[in-house]
Amino acid sequence: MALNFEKRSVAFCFLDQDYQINRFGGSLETYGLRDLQEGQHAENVFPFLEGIFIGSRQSGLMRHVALESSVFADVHYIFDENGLWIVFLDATQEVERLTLMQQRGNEANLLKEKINQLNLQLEAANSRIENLQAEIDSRKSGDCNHALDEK
Amino acid sequence: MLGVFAVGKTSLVQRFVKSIFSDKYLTTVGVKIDKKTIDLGGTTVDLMLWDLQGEDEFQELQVSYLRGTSGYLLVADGTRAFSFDRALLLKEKVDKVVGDVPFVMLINKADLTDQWELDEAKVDEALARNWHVMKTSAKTGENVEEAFQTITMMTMEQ
Repeated sequence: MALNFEKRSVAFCFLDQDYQINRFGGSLETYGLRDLQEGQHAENVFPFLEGIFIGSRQSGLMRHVALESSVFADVHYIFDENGLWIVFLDATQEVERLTLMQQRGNEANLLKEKINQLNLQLEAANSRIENLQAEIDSRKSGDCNHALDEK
Repeated sequence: MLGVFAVGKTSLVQRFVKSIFSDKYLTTVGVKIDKKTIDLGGTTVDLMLWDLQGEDEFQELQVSYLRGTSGYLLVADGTRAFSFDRALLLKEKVDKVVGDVPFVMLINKADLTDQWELDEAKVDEALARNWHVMKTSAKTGENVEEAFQTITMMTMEQ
């Protein structure tokens, strides 16, 4: 557990009922959170969490939030009777792994879509060719019959 | 920013916030948050723009990201007709979570006229529902400022 915590650069902040900073600690600088002070309003420090400060006091988790450049965090927000805990866990490695997988998967899907589009265009073109051919054949047949009638 | 993968959500944000564009497709995992301050008729508005990962076979929309949403841009790709249909399904999901929140539908990649796949009848259907629908291009910048200004105005009027 200790090893896992260390790897995840745990940081926390506790906000009082008015969403002012009461306590903080851990690897805050990992997430670009510097110069925090008790009494600061959380909206000024965590503007991206503004949505949590309004509405219902329901705890939750936002996964894979990009904070500092190239740093991603899982942001847990936990309401209790005294206030709100915000806990950051480094998710950068997981995001890097997912990005690689997702990039390849999406590129493959885009290629499949392109192939499908081209196939549809090909089918439409073939259909037009067949129709044209049928029209030509019909006219030829019509011309032959006309020639025979004249004889 | 909501929509399936590769419709141009990140490109639209990058164009609006940084005035840059890249043709290279780079998938978004999780959420990236950008801030931009705009002036709207003399009022200074701070926009927190949440660029969410697109829905794909790997990831469904994470509803936790929607908490506190004032408004959203629902993005489809005009060169991929199915992205429009999926956007409609996404809207239904979002409506269940955030309720009746202002949104603007963007049909992106308007510069790719020779690859355009989306039937105008579908766009007309959306317009008939009194939706705000705009054709945009993150590449040329067409209607990008207007899109963000429109959604900002709509959220402020709410």
